[in-house]
Amino acid sequence: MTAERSLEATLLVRLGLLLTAAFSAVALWLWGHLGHIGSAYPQPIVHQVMAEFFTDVAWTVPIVLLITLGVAAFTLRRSLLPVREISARAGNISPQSLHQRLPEQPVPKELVPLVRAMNEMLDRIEAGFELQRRFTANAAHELRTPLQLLSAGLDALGSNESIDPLRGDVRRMCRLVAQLLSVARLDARMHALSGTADLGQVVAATLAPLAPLAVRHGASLALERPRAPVIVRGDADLVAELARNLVENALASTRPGTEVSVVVGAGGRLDVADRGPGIARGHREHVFERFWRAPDAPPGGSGLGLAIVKEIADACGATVTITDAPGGGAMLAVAFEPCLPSAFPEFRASEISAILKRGRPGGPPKPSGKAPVRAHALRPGMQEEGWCATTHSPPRGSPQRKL
Amino acid sequence: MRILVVEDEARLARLLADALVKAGFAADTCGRLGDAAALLGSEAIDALVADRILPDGDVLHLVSRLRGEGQDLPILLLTARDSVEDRVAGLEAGADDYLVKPFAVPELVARVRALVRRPGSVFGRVDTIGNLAFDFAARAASVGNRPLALPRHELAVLEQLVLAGGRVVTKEMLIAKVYGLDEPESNAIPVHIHHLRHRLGDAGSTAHIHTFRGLGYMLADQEKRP
Repeated sequence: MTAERSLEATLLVRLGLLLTAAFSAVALWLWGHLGHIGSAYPQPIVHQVMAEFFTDVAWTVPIVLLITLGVAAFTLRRSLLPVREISARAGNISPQSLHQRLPEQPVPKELVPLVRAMNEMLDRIEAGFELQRRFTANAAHELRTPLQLLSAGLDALGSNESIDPLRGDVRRMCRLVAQLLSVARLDARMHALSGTADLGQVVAATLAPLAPLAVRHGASLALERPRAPVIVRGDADLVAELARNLVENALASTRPGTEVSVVVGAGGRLDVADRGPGIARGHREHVFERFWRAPDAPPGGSGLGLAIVKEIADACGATVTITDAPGGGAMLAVAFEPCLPSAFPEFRASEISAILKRGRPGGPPKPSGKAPVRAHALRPGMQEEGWCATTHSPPRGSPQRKL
Repeated sequence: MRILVVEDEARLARLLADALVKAGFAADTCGRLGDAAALLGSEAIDALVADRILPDGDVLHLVSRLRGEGQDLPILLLTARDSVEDRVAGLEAGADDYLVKPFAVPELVARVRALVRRPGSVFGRVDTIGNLAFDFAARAASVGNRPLALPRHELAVLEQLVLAGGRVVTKEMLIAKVYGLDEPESNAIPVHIHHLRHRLGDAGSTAHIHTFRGLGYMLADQEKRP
């Protein structure tokens, strides 16, 4: 049997046995000694001495024994507490947080070499990951120049039946290279995310250049967004990359002649629905894995697009959900964390979404600068006068609703 | 319009210069920063298209020097690096635009056109999309060499779509370009697009106007998928 033995239990058992043995030895020796003395002194005196010994001294023995064991257990437990903390921290280190190190400070001196060795091991693992990351990035960069030559050479040849498919191949390779770079870059800066982005504006700017791709797929592309800015937490470049990959994926899956619909919601939601075969329930947990492709996926994809989407969403604190689109096909919804422009930092995301859910303004807001438009958008849920970042929500059914 | 293409990959430099010449520009090429500086000093160059990293240095030094001297010629940087920091550095040094490799050559030509577009610079130019030709000097459209008669506003809409070179033009942009400061009726642009589409179809044009709801309009050749 190889049951794990706790250090504490072992110590307590051994210490207990040792102390009991020691006290027993002393008692036995005393017993023998007194017996020997007994012949020299009268019996009643001996008995009296023994009785006094048991009432004055011997009762402390088990107490001393218990206190000793208690102190030992306490010391052991206290010294091992940092080990538990360190184990918890070590358990949380993943490839995305390899920069973390275990603290040497509260650890008992005897365990410091172990912590140090683990930290050195982390150094080596991080260096290995960094090397791989850099290799991906460098390889992708180095591929760009030959790809550029190839693509420019093909462009110069004009257009015919044998050249056009080649142009498609080059485009596919360009996309793969761009995605590999995205992945390498995402790995490198997973923990450096800040800033806000206007979701509606970023998505509109990302979608316009994808129109030729839609035409190539024989599909159409439509965007619906509120007129007021939709400010969400996340880096604008990353949000654009997320939107691009989401829409490219939808365009690749949708049937020719159908429309990919993109909807930006005022609460910070981005919905992309296609009219393709949809994503089977059994595949939904896999589609976000890098390089995973459904067995029946149309050719031309790399399996990186949705992985990039998920990783960016995670970095922005957003969630991605897959459902069936109302008219058939797949619907991918990204729920971003809404926030106000930095002029109103005191507002928390939950308050904003609560305000935004309560209703939109009656008239169309004037698109003149971000802050005033945002203020306008918030007004139905606000006091008319003197509202500031710390204003509480007005009572339900407040008269300002009639604006 | 004379464009200097600075690119150390000689074959790419030649391909880009050929494409620019085909689009109606004059183009010179060189592969080094030193040569580029010398040519800019001695020749009348109207725009610069330059690879970011050259064997003898970073083009950003040249760009900042040119801007320091008060030269305002349009500069388009080409680069294999597309990190945000790189882009910011390029634009801060004074470049006007930034194109990440690998790019499609027509995209480069469209960007150069956008950069050098000054009043009158499109004169003497005829663009074709499929069998549709648009003469910017005469402001006239033709389908397969047969002139296409268009009302004033529709002609202006078509002109903007052709100028965009296969890219999406937003409704707001069309309103601004076609009506200037006048406020048109809310559905004026969709109505023009609708009529224009019919006229193009009736004339047998292979160029088709695609509508992207919420985004804008794009003119593309139906025969050849872009």
